[in-house]
Amino acid sequence: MAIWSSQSQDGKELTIKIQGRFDFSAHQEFRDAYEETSEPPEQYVVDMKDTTYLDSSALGMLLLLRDHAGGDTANINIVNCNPDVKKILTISNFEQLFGIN
Amino acid sequence: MIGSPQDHVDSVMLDELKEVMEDDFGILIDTFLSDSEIRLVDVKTAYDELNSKKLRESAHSLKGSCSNVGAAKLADICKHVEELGRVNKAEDAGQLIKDILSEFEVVRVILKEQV
Amino acid sequence: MLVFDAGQDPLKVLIADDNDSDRMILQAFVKKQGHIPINARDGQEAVELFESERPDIVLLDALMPVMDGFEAARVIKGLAGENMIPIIFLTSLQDADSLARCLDVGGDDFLSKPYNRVILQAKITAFNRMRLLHSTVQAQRDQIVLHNEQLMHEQEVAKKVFDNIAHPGCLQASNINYLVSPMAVFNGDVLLAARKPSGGMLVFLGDFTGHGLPAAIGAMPTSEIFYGMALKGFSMQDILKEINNKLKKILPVGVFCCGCMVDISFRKEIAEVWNGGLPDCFMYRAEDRDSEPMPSFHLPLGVLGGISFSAETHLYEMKHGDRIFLWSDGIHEEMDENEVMFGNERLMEVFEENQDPALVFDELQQAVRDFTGSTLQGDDHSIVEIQSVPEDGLIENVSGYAADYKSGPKDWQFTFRLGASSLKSFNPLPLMIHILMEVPGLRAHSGKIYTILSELFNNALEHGVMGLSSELKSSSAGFAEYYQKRQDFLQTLDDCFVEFELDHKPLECGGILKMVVRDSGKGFEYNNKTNVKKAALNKSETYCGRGIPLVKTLCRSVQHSEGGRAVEVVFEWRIEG
Repeated sequence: MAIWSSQSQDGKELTIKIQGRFDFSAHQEFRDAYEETSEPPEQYVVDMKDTTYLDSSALGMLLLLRDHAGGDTANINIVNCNPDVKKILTISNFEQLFGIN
Repeated sequence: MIGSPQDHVDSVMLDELKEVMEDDFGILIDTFLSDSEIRLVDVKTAYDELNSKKLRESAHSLKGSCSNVGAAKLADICKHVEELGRVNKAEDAGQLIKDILSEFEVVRVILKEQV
Repeated sequence: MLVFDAGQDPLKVLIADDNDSDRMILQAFVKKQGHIPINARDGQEAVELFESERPDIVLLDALMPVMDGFEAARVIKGLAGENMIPIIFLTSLQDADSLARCLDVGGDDFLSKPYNRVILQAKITAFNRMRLLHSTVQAQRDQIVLHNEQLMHEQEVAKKVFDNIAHPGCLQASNINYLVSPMAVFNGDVLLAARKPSGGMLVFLGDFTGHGLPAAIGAMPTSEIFYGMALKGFSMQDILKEINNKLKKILPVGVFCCGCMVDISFRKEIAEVWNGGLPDCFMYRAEDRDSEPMPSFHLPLGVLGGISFSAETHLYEMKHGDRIFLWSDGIHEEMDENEVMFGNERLMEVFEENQDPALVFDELQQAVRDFTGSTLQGDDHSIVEIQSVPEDGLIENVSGYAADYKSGPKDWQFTFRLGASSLKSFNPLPLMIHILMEVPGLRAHSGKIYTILSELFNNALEHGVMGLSSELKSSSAGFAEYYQKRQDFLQTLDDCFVEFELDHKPLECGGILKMVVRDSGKGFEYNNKTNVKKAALNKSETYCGRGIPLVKTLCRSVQHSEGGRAVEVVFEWRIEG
């Protein structure tokens, strides 16, 4: 498991990439990825291209990110999900809270 | 007296002891001397009895306290006696014991001068 | 908490040397460093002083009369127990065997003669640092042990409280099979089942995020709300809304509950299902051994508050013999030795290969066992199977209420009239049941009363006010259509009412409850003299599906009046037991 984050040059978009299993062990690292930004971004992209699996605590972490990004006004897109990851997000109906593709 | 005091007693060590012991330095020297006299008797008795084990132990003990007051030469002779005791040759220690006795007299004079 | 501080506080240093001058020198060195020397002339004295003075560091001459340093070191280490008391051997011994022996008996270091003040002081400082580190670690270890004991105790207490609140309800009923860890509460799973006053059954399987106490905490209010509201006859939508709001309020963001609630009406042979975040649950039909997935259509409980939450349910036909399977994601995530997950496909294969529905619960467990190569512990997952059976086959569990027949309302009457906007969104039954249960001794009859009131209310609303025909409900497709129409109609209601008139009179050992339900509908053709049971069997238009035959069996009398717009039933009851 490893997490990278990068902010676009204009600071408006923060991309967080998660590699490997996304579970509770990623808790602190994931939080650091969005809390340690120089300026608050307008939108977030969670890139799951290399994410192999996520468990329910990962769903909880996504909700924490959503809360941090403004709750109901948050603009978060979860991208590049593999079918397994997508399935987990779908079961929990997270498409109601996040952009998922 | 043979040679300078420095050949018999380490003056640097003595100075340090003086500094640490302060007013008790005199008592230390007196204690060392009276204590050593008892141990010298032990060493001599062990030789007289040709008791190697006892010779080794008493020489070892004397060696320790001598080294601690800087009497390096005396400690060195004790070490040879201890070694003879260890290899069970108490009978060969005669000359060394005479050396111990004379060296002790030299040390005594030097230490007394320091107080 | 220990402050890590080497060389500040004076230490007690025990010096054991039979040579007076050597001891004097050491004593002076120790004092000069600011520590407190304690003097011993031999090993025996050293041991005695160790016991009485409890020094922090021990300097031991190896060769001493009475008791030598080796023996003294052994005894002192024994007395020190798990405290770290550094022992430094004072020796002019040079041979490796002697030095090794010093360490064997528990010595930590050597100091050779002639003594060097700087080295001795450095050693004391270093060992003191180590000693402090040791006691810090020791104190932390003790704290951890203590905390762990406390935690275990707290968990035991929490478990007891939890067991009292989240009691198994009617999980022991003959139509339920389940596998759940006895400590499931601490891995976040909660399984609740209750009989409804109307005779149906409510089952809830929840899976909270996380483990341990944080996961268990949410299970408490969930159970309390579930049992409290189920008992009073609230609908599952109301119960779900209440649980969701409560969880949203009390749980921190990121902690939520994936769950599935099922409301089974054995009499109507339907199941109403709400799934939020659990993997597809299954309806397994006995007749054609077809398994229909019941997927999650909702966000888990506790994620969205208030009006954003959807308690919309899905209706499934559930004939007697049909089975519903609910599970948390644990079973899907069971892994074989190559860390491949059991998954949904393998789960479905079990259903495809099943020959006898009664065995599928066992076959599921066997399949997971075969896959993982180990026994299904039930530690990480919960499975529950609920079979639809004739209601008579289930033992009524509404009992055990400590009845107080003396106090409470016995002779009273009230009228309760609901207008259009109330009818759209409010279920009056729980409130009325709540009031009725205040009558001393009547609680034992709550199931029957609920059934009567609910039949009469539904008739008044659906057939009276809305004018829906119950004919529709005779086919599977019509069944869904009926409920869809009911839902649509409800939203368009205007200028209408349903009125309850309740009157209770006490008898010697019980009472008479008269219930009149009146509606603003068109009424219908009735004949109070018709044999209602026969009429129902003939599916005659007038009585069909109105539940009247059932009501008739429960009441002393059933009378229609006011052109079919009112029905009066008389329920006579006696104190049981």
